[in-house]
Amino acid sequence: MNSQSHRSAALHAASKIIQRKPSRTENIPPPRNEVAKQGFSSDDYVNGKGVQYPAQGDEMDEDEDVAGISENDSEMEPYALSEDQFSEESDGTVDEICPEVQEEIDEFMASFQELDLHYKIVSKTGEGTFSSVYKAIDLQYNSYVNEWDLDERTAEYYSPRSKRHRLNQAKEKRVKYVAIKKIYVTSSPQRIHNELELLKDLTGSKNVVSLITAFRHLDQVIAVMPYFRHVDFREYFRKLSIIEIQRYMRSLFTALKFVHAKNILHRDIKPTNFLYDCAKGRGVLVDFGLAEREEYDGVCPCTRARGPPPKPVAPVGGYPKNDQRPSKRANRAGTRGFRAPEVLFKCNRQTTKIDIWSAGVILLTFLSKRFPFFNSPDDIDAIIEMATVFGRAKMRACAALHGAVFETAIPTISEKGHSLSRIVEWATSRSKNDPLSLEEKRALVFLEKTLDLDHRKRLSAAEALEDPFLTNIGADISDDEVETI
Amino acid sequence: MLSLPISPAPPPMPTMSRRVPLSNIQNHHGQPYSLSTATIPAKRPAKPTRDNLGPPPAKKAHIDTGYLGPDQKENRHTTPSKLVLVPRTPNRQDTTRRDVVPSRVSRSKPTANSRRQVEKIDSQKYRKPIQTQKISTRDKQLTAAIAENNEAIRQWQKHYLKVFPTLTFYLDETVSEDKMAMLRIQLRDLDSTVIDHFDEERVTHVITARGDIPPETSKEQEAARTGTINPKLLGKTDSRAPVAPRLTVYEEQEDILVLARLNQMKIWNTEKVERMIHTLNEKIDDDYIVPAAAPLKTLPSKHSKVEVTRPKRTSAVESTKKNEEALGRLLNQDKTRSSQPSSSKEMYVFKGPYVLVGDASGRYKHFIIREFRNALQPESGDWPQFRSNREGRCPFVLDPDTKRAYMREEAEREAEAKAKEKEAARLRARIVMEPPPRNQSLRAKTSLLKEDPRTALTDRRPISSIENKVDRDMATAAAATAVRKTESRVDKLKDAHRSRQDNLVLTGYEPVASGLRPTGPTSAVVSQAISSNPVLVGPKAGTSRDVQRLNRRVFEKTTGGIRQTNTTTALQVVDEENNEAKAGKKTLKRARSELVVKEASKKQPVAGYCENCRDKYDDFEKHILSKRHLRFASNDENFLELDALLATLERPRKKSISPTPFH
Repeated sequence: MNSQSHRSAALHAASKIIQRKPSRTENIPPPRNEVAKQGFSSDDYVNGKGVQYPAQGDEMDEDEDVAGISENDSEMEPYALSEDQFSEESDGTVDEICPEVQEEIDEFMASFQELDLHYKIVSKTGEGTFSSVYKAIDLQYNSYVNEWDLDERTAEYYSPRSKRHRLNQAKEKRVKYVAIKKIYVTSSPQRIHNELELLKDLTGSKNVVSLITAFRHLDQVIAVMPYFRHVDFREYFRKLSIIEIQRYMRSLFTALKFVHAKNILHRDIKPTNFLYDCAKGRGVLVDFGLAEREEYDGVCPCTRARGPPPKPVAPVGGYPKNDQRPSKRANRAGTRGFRAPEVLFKCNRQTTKIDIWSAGVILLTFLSKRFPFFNSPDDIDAIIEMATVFGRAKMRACAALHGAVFETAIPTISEKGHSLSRIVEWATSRSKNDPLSLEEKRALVFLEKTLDLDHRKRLSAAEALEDPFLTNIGADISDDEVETI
Repeated sequence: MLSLPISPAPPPMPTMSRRVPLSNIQNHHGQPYSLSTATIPAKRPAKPTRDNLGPPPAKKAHIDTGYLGPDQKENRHTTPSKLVLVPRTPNRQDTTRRDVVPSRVSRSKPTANSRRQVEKIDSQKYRKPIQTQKISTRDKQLTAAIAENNEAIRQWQKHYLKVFPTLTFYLDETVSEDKMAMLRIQLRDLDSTVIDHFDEERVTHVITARGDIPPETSKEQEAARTGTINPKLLGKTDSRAPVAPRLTVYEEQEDILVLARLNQMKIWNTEKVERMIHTLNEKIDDDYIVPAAAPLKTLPSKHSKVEVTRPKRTSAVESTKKNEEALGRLLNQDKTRSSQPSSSKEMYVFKGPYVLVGDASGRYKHFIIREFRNALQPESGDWPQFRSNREGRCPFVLDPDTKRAYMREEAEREAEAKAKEKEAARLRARIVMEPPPRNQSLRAKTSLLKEDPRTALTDRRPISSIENKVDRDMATAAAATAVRKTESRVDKLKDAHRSRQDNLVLTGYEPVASGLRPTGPTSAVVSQAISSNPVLVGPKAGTSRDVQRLNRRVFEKTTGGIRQTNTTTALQVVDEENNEAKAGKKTLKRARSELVVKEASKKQPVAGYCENCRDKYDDFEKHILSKRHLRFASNDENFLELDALLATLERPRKKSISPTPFH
């Protein structure tokens, strides 16, 4: 990596790696094994996820996030094993890799000198808009001070430490896994810097992913983070009891409190970014690729002191045909279906409350047993879906709060909307014989407070943690109470 | 210069087909806009109790007299042709007449000559109606009359073409934007001045769309003008004092029309202006007797300039016989002329259910506008709404069972889909063992499947069957589902070449249907198929992944017509077969291999945006190897800040163990 010749060669190799990403079917060697079940799955998954770039999005021009943190963000899957992960893999058993991915990995490893001395990639676990994530064995785990290793620091670590030290082969008995995030070369250094810097600042919470290290070769940047065993959200979201939901939410809000206390917005709260281990009752918030520090210089009517909100404007029922006015711009980075109303209404003073909304959507998913709850292929549909739930009156008020007008003549959007209780009842096909349980009702009360269209009334993460719903959790309180280390 | 026909040549009767409809033209001309503006005061039926908004008493006499009466006051000098058309107004002696044109002319500092002309014209026109009835009975004189009339018009045109350059117009805010733009152009073509702000010193004419034009000062008041001087009007050439009592009528002194009246400006209704402009631009060619002085020659240059834009008019009227025909053309021309400029900034009014989110301040354009097709039943609307479907699924996604409405629509397209269905039906006959849903015909079902790839995938299959699909025989219902799904892809594949877009639209509620964007393998449609489908099936989503994958691959082939060059079809086949072998579904394989063969799919270039080059690219791989990108990549200066951060992120080593330098 030092000599010029090597550099160019490496550059070429690095470039090649990148090629792998969008097109996995290139130069596929004959299948090495027929067992590549997982491999294919993940590959297929990867295929489907693909990588989307703003050029494909039609809303890009209105976005602040040049790189197109748009619809497709929902496909972002950082070192999450979630979407496509087989449970065996989650359990840390041997990973099978399909040939395509294997080749991709091979090239990837070859592109970085000595990378293979440190990590052995065992699988590809996710692919998103700006990155691919691989699960890797940390070959030289014992050469380093591993502050990040939560298991190491908890009592779980079992005794024969010295013995293992002597073995000096992490691979032997206790394989240490890390997640390697390969950030695509089309991401700007600033974006990468932003993510890594935030990650660095966010060190110290059990519920927020930490950064082990990161390095660059030419335009290729790689971040190494702890690997977290977890279960696919879809596997459990319909099964969790209320108590388990409470734990999940407590864990999530704990992470959010930590992040928000540093005035950082995650912007992409969703199940796939919260790696939750049902067994342990612990979740880790990952992927700060869209995160940003809260800014206070934006201008939006919603920042005015409380008072009568701006009056909604009378509906016009039409629009100018050749509107030459400029488009309003506001950051809308995030994932479809999880965007807060103020994001959709293009508020320029978005706060950490947008994360609370997204967390509320997750809770709604649990309670309604529907995932995703909001389909929202685009922001327009997102608005319609939101209005379908909350009704025109609230939507108008919320729009006015952010200096926007909302009007609709869609017959299925009622004036008053529906209560979330009613929606959960409907979504879970409740009958009179099968009413909502007391716990569910408690959860719904909490849900109402996290899914308030008015972000000013929406709970903060700290407030949420004080809410009865998150303080009176069944019998045992999980160890994720320890927020900060 | 001007030789006005002093002799009160009798104007012709309305037997002139060409002239008659001109009045229609006038009306027509104003039509697009005149709905609200048509009611200029003079046109309203005179009511004795009318307040001062009404026309002055002097006019009321003939407001009631004839059908053209209403126009007389405000429009009497607009179109000479009109005057010709007013045979039934016996008493056209308009006592107020004098003050109209002369005053305007005088205000605009006319030459003595022009003033004389005006008077001549006025007097001439003034006399016309009186003559009309007599003349009308004498057909022999008709030709002469026409010529006379045309000459009168020409004189009128000449006069006003001279006058207009001296006028300064102000268009008040009631004039719609489009009309304002049009009038501006037209007035400037006539060398008039159009100013944007109401400058009392300069404006001679106010053009308004309002109906409540304040009445002009009456004769007596006018007479008094010379006596009293309003300080406001000092320095004006034509400074006449307003009559104090009039002001009380309008509480709002800011009423621009009141101010205009106070300043002795003329207030013209937009209709009137349009009529005048129209007439001024009209080429008067009487084909009966073309006078020695051809109109064109006498027309000022401006006029001929305008003429150029409407060349057809000259040649259109060849003879009297063709007059009617020519008229129709004229009408059309007028229609287009008046409607074209107006369409640009008009409002689009929603006709169906819509959603609109805009900026309340008006500084920005609306950021969300979408209109949906009208639906007889709300549930058949294609906007997102709660749908009854299986537990676990997104509540906003339409379940196949509730898709009757779409099926109905689909049925209409069946004719053209027949060919495709034949094959699909063949496959289905082999494999499908489940009856079509409800009473839908096979056909409708096919359409449905094609329409909605996602629902088709799981197509009201019992969850368990799909779940078990991986392990079971191909003959399971789930396999059938998959095949049917594949068939739908077959359809899509075939269709893709000629009507991919159409197909996407057909997906109804699906993301594409909402006009999101053309789809590709990475689009929301596909990824959604992956990301949300599993939800509804079984405890674990992965069970149906095989089906998904297959579908996705098919989808890729369907949509990504152009994949990367170095991927061969063979590889694809291998790839597919590998999948199949694993899945153990030979039927599937067969169905799909057809697909594979059908399209020699290449690897799809991934388009996107490079933040570093700040450029969109069509092909990721090509882009990152481009010189531009490599130049960026190899320049460390681009990464200074990042490197500084990375330096702080080095992994801390244990002291005891000799480190292997990594980076």
